[in-house]
Parts: sequence; structure tokens; C-alpha cells
Amino acid sequence: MQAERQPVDSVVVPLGTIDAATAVASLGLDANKPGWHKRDILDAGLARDLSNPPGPWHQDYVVVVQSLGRLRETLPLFSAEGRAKHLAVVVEQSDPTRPFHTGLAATAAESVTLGTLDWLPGARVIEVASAGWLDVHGVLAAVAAQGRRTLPLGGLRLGVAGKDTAAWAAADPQARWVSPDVDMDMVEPVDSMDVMAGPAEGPAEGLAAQLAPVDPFNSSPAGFKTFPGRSTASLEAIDGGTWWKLTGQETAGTEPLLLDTRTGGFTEIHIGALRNFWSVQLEGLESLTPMACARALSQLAASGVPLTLGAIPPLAEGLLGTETMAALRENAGPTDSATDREAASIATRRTALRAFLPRYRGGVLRRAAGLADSLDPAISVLLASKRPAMVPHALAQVARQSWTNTETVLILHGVDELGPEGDAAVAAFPGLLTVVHAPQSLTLGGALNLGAGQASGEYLAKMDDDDWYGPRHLEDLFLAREYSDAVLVGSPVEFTYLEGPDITTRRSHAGEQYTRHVAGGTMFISAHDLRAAGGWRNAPRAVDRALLDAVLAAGGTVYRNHGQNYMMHRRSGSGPAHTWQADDSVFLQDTLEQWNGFRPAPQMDLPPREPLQERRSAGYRSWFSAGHHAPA
Amino acid sequence: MGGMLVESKHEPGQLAAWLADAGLALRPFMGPRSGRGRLSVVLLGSGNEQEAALTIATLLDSSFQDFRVELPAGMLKQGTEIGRWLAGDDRFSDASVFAKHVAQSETVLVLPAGLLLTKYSIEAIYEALQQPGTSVVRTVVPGRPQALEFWDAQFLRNEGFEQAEAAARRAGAERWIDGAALGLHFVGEPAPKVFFRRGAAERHIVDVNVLPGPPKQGRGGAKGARHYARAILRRLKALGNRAGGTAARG
Repeated sequence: MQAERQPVDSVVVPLGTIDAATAVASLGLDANKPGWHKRDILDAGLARDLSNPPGPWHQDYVVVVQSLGRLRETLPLFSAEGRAKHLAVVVEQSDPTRPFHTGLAATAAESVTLGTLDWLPGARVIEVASAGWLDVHGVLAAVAAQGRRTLPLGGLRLGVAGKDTAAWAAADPQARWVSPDVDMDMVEPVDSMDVMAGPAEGPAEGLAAQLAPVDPFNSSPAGFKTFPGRSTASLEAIDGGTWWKLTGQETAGTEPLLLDTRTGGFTEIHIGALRNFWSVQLEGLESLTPMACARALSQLAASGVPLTLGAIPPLAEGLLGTETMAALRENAGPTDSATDREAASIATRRTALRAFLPRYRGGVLRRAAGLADSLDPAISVLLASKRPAMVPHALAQVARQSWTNTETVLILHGVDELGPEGDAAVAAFPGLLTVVHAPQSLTLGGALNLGAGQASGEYLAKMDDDDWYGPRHLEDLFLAREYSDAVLVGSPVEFTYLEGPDITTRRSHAGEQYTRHVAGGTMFISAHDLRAAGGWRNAPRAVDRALLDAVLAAGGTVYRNHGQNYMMHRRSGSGPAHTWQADDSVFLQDTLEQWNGFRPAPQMDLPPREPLQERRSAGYRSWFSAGHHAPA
Repeated sequence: MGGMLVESKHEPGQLAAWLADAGLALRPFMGPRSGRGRLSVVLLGSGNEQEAALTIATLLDSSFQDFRVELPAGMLKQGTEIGRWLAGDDRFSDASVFAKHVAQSETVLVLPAGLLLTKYSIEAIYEALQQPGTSVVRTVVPGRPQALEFWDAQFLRNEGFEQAEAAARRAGAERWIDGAALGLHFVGEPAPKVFFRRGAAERHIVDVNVLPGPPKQGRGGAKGARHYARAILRRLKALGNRAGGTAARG
């Protein structure tokens, strides 16, 4: 019979600004009692007791971090920290724009509490106590995941030798600290790692493979502000990039904000602070090591922070790769237009995300492990139409998509014949196309479900037949799903062309945030999640709202990306083909910007059309234009 | 009986300082009446005297009264309800003097009969016209295709009536807004939700705030909108009483 384990000590790991004793005392624990140890988890020489796995055995284990992003950065380093009776995580700052999850499901023998610190506004404290033993790494991984359900490295098991390579894990809970001395061939397969993290070796990978992925929790477009409150900031690297000094023009005379990046990179809190500025002037990059400079720029680029670049070490440019560097250069610099600023940010972050998201960066690790690269998944476009005349336009919107691994399911709802133009469009469509005839008797939801049943893609994207879509629409939705980990993603209805008055409006439906609503014609969801949500509701209208409600009711999240890839077409005298009936005045509410004529956003890559009097509907023409000089 | 003759000992411009010191900041559009009508209004007839009367009533209830109004021909004839009602107010005419009015005014309002203003709609739309580069403000109001137009009279005079719209579009000087943001609605349609902010110093601020839109029909329609507006006013009144200040008028 195995003897009952006894805890041997209590541990505090200070990774924030609060000192260890204060943190322990704030939890109501006696920091002066014997047995408390402070552990520097970042120390390359830290002793780890591997003699009695899964120990060592602790009474209390307290981790103090500045932010959840910092916890995610260091997560693999906790994998050999053993078990504890009581575990607490003190998060000094959390992003107020995101929900905070404990991520923990307590068993009957455990308790989980989420609290705050009276003397530190914004701080969160998660405490877990158990009659049995808690897996320290497992609890920290659950907190760090923040409700995310996927493995960033797609199942790859990554060994991490220290803090310098921990960023490669991108908070994957399967990544483990592994002693540099261990011979992996001697480890049992169940405990073995696929590959050790680190810069790729050999000329085949090249310089551009040396840089670690960005963790999208820390560095992603989430939280981008199209209309920030402040103008220009200076962000200066100091002490070799272990600190950054943020100085805003409007805060002249006040203390600059110091960003602590001693563990390697920017966190979500740092990026959040940069979001308030129209643009950020980078300074001191030339004083950094090429790796530190490239790491910082990869994070800022993936976040889409509008930058003005200074001098960059040439080797850093190589580490970032030509595409990211070109995007940074092309899109850097000041602009007065909010739309142009956002478009430049979108272009930069898209390029950086394609290079540095764990899905893509993991290719370096997978190749090192002798595994095949993961390919871009197939996306099935669901295109339902009751109007044969709109089919050529609708197919053209799909044909211009940059995402090549697509199939299109054209659902003709109550339409038997397309007519010559529609038939020609179908014949000329360059991609995989399946035409499904849904009888008139089916509801809209029924017709969409019929089409979804014919789709073979891993993801489904719903598109409308009369709106405009930018060529990177599908690509950006897929990336948004990657960095948000939301069940359903979509875009806002920000840009609308109003055919009656012949104007384009931009409404204040801000994107890049978790939300409860996206435009129906932009919904993007995995086929599995759609089935789990029951598909589209069998109803003639409001089927999009019903799907959103089902996803949310099931505990899923909905994320809205930027609005520049989607432009709603508001026709004058819209008929019954529209499932959403709204007055033109709706599209004039909360408008932030307004233009005469057809003015698509830059990401639409469509030519604008100058305003013409003839294009304006009679009901919208001025009383004066009709030749009235006096009342009739 | 008038008071004694006052011989001014003050420099020109002192009045503005007096008002500022007293916290009586008049908006640019407010002030003494010009006699010529700083706002020239043309009421577009719908052939419905009742609807025209309701629109005129909201105009008379407006906080801004320095206007001259051109009514549809025949509306001021003896024997009509409106003719009897407005007989003593020379701001209203149905002669073709609109061009003359425009020549003397600062702004021009094209107002469809049946469209109802709130007390502060004109002030609010005047503020919208003050946006840089704006020469005309157009509104869309649910229910009918007619749109309200509010023009900078100088722009109209410079460009000519018939060319004004095209010129405004070319110059990007036309701005469309949701009529609900101004409290506008047509007769028989639900009133939009508008409210009037109170300032920190217990002053009544007349900004009409843009709100998401008219109340949903399913939640009471026009009746619900009236109920909502009354609730807002009650709340403002309660706030005023609590603070010991003057209750908001609405």
C-alpha cells in the first residue's frame, strides 16, 4: 500500500511587480511560516526535483504574474513543478475588453474561487484548493487557456529547455520543460516529446525560420481601434529590449509608461496600451539584438499596431522574412484617413499572422520532427439565392477570393432556371461548384441546411448574393478564427452602399472584438460546430440570429473581425428577396464617415464610382434640382 | 411705459463678455430676431391641411423662431383653417417670395408637410450644418420618401437653386443623417427616442443626441415611444428637483 504523501513546502513564483511576501500575505497566508520558498522559474539554473514523479509535493503554490499573457509565455516552465494542495494565481492586470475565465472545473473534493485584491484595482486572484493533489501545470494551463479549446501546435509535443525557447510553445499545454541533458531516445513514448524547441538547424530552413511564433492571445488584431483617442506615441527600447518606454504626445509632462518585457515579449496588456494611439514611432531598435528586434516587430506587426519604423538591424529583417518586412515598410508612416490607416494595419497583420501564427510557424517544428506540414483547410462557401439575376455577381465575389482551397455550394432556392447569364456564370466559374436546387417550399433555413449537407469543407462560409466581398474575405475570416478561437466568426456591417441616395456610409460597428452579432452574409463556422449547434433553424427568416443564439447558448464564443472586406448593398425599393427588412435610415444611424457615390474600403480592391445625379433615385433628389423656385 | 434712456458707456463686444460671465452662452444661431428671417422655410404641400397644420404647429413650438415660411399656394386663403389660424403672423406667406426670402436668410429649410419637428430639431440640424465642409444636411425619415433639406443659403445663392445639389455632391458638402437623430417623424409614425442632456451645472443642454433608432413596433409602437419620452422627462425633472435646480423643459 502506497504511503500517504505529505507536502514538503510552500512555493511562491514572482513574475510580476508585487513582491513575493506581499502576494502571499494578500492571500491570507503566513509568509513567515517555515517552508516558504521563492522560485525563479526563469532561472536557467533552477533546480528541479524529478526524483519522485509526479512530485515534488507542495502545500501552497502561488504564482504572481503581471498578466495572463505572461503566464502563457512561461507555461511550459511549470511542467515539472509537481503537485500542490492549494494553488493560487495572482494576475496583476487583465484586459477589460475580454472575458476572464478561470478555466477550471472543480471536482467534489476541490474548490475554485475567483477574487480580486482590494488594494490593486484590476487584479484577479484564482485560488484552487483540493483534498487531494492538484497538478500545478494542469491548473496553470487551464487558467492560461482562457477558454480556448485548441492546441496551438496542433498536437505536436514540444520540449522546452528554458525561457529563451519557451515562446515556441505559444502556450500549448502539451509543451513541457525538458532537461537539456535528457536523451529523448531513452524516454518512454508516452512521456516523450516530438521535438525540442529552438532555432531550426540546417540551411534548408534559412534565417526566416529562426523566429518563434507569436501567441495570438498576446499579439493579434483583437482590440484594434479604428478611431483611437490619442495621436502619436513613441515606443523606445531600453536595456536591450527588456523594457520599453511608451511616451504619448498628449501625456507630455507626465511619466512615460514602462513596459516590462523581461521574459521575452509584449503581452496583451502592452498591446492594449498601444491601441490608444493613432500611430507608434519605434525608437532604439538598432540597439537591440537582431532576434529581440525581430521578435518585437513580429508581435507588433501581427497586432496591426500602426508603426513608424526607425533603423532596423539588417539581420532582424532577415529573421522577419521578406514578406513581413515588405508589409511593415509599405504600411508604415502617417496617414490622416482612418480608413486608410485601418487598411494598412489589416495588410500588415494579415501578412504577419500568415507567417507567425502557431499554425504556420509550427511548420518549422513539424519539419524538424519529421512530420508533414498542416495544409490550409478547405472552406465551403454557401451561397443561397432566389434571384437568378444576382448569381453572376455572387459567383464573381467567390471567384476573386485569395483562399484557393474552396468549394462553392450554390443553393438556388425556388429557382428552376438560371437563364443565359446565370448559366454562363456557372459554366465560367473557375473553382469547384455544386449547384443545389432547393424547392420553394423549403424555408431559408431548410435551404441552407440542404446546401450544408452537400458541402465537404472543414469550414463553412455563408455569403449573400447581392453584397460585395473583398478578395481576402475568406482568408481574413479563417485567420480571425485562428487568433480568436471563437466558434463562429464574421464581420460587421460597417460599410453600406445606399443605392437610393447614391452614397456610402460607414457605421460605428467596431470590429476585432468578441461580440453577440455579426453580419449574416459573413458567418464562418466549422462544419462540426454547425452540426453541434443544430444547423440553421428551420425558419423563413432570422436564421442567422438563431444560429448566433444557438452558438452562444451552447457556451461558444462569437468574434467579429474588421469590416473592410464586406460591403452591404442597400437597394432602393428592396423586394422580398431580402431576409432582413430595414429602412434606409437605419444605415444612416451612428455613421462615422460618409461619402458620395460608391466608395468601397481599400481592402475591397474595387474601383470607386464618382457620384452622379442620374444615379440618385428620384425620391432622394433635392427639391431644388427639380426646378422648384417656389412652393407648388 | 418704457424705462429711462440708457446711454451706453461700453465698448462694442462688451455684451458677449457679460453673457459669458453670466454663463448665458447663446449659440451662434440664437440671438435677437433679424426681422428678415434668418431661416427661410419652404413647406412642401401634401394636399392635406391637417398634416400641414401639425407641421406648422411643431415649427411654432420650436425653440428657434426667427424664420419666414413659404406655404403652398392657397393655404393662407380666407376660409381655410390654416388661413384663420395664421392670419396675424406675417412670417407666413403664400406668395412666391421664396427667392427673396433666400436672398435675405442665412439658412434654408425644405420641410415636407406631415413631418413633425421637436422643440430643438432646428437647433440640432443647424449644428449638423456647422460641420466643416458641410453646405447641406439631408435627412431620411422612415415612412415616406420625402427628405428634409437644410441648406447654407449662401451656398444656394452662389451655386443657383437647380445646380446646388450637384455642386454639393461634387464638393462632398452634402451630409445625410438619420431623421431620428433630430427627433423627426411623420404623422402617424412612432416618435423616435430623443433625450436632452443636462449639464453638470444644472443647465439645460439642448443637444439632441443620436440614439440607435425608433422604438421597435413590437414594444409599444407610437404609444411606447410617447411613454418612453415621458419617462425620460419625468426622470430629468426628478433629477432637477433632487439637485435643487430647474427641471428640464422638453
